Amino acid sequence: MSFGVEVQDLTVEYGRTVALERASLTLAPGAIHGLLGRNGSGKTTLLSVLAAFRRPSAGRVLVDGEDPWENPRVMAGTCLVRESGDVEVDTGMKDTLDYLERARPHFDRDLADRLMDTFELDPRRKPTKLSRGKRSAFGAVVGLATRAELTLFDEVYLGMDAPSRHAFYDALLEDYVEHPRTIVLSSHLIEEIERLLEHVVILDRGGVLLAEDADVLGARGARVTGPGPAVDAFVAGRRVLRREQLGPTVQATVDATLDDAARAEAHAAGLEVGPVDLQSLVVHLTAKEPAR
Amino acid sequence: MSLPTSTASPTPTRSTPRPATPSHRSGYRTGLRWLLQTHGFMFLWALGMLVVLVAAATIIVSNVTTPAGSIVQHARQGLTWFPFSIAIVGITTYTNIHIGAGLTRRSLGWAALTAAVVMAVAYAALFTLALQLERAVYGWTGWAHGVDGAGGLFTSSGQVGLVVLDVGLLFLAGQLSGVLVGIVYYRAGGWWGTLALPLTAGPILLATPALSTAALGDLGLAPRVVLVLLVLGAMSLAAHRLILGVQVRKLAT
Repeated sequence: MSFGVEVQDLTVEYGRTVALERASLTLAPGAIHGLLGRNGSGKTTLLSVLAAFRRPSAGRVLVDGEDPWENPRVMAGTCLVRESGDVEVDTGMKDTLDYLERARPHFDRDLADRLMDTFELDPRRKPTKLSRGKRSAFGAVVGLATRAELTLFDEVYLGMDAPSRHAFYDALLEDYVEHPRTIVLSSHLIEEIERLLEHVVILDRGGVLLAEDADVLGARGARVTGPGPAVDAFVAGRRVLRREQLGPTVQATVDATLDDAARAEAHAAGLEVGPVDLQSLVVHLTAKEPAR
Repeated sequence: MSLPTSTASPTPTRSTPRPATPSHRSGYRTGLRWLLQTHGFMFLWALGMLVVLVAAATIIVSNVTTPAGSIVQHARQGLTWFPFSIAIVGITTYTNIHIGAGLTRRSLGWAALTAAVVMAVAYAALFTLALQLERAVYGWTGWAHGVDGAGGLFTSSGQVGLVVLDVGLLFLAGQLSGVLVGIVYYRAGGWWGTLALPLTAGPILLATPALSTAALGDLGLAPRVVLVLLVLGAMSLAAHRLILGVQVRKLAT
């Protein structure tokens, strides 16, 4: 009950604006993928194409092995939640849940009702009468209860307070464990979702900057701290993402996986080596002007 | 960082077993139900307004003078443009909901056209029934039930067949035009949607006059009806084609 995704040389243009240019990636079925990148990097456009909301300008997109555009099976198995979802806003949320129960093949009404309680959403209220955070929470309810084979959350956390966001993450994990499916989370709150991700795709300027398993990415990058000359000597020949100096002490963030020998070399030079969290890595990798 | 329950696999991108296969037909049923519910609700509003306004106007006129003409006949315009506006709102609102629920554009197109036909029949039945009820009341009270025939095909409220034909085609043109106007605005935005109005809304103004205009010479009523149906068919085809290619717009936040 999971859809995989293959994207090859995907280009999407809005008039003269190129949102995605020859982007290629693969999303394995049955995993939680993080789709990260700066504003305007093409995340929403990519998700829109996967959900058959938009048609590519060029390239090939396969969801569960087939073109999603006007494909009843693939479209029914794909759910893109943009904020509060593409739902009726001028009727009570109960009506939307009734509608989705008829329209979506795997929609779990019990789960939806439980999540409505969790997020303290009154089913009789209209989405237009809700705060932004509550509307986003309703989107989370829709996305989770739909149990689509490919579930895409595009910045679904917008406006949600911290307890609600964590309730969403917990509900997502709990339901994912019971009903494994392919989930893509697009978010700027990387620190919060990092623990959920099994695979990470970083988009930058309409292209795929990197796509790696989260474990591999976790080992990628290192922070080297110590006396300036020693740090500079150690990072020479390595890709430096960021360099900060405080008095005689320098901290350099390098895009490199340091093996045991390299770490021993660093220690011998009096340097401290620490990990780089995913958020910092994304920030440095997608920075407009690299440190060097 | 990764979950212990991970079932991620680096290569296969096709699942087994496959889920049940939804179809265009199931999407059509879902879409038609939503559209008919929405339009049906507004139909009840139209019915209520018709009853209240006609009753009020009849009471007022009969207290001032002896009614000599139908009041219901004036609802012909209202029952054209009110459902027309509802059809615009319906398609522009429902497109995101339908596709967002994983249903195809093809099913949306057929559902929108079917709803247009059903609602045109419903409004035509409402108008005809109201006119005949009014005729019966006028007959009972001894008032003359005249119709002015301006712009319409019928010259007497007793010409039930012509009444049905006249308002049936007019209301169908209104419904189809509403869908067409709505989807053009949805796809092309305000400027192009407005510039295209002569093409998208114009057929409403031509539907009934085409049945009686002298410009078509000695052409009989049946060929004229076929001509109007051809125009309405072209509108339907255009609306369906535009729906098939629709790209879902961003949400207004």
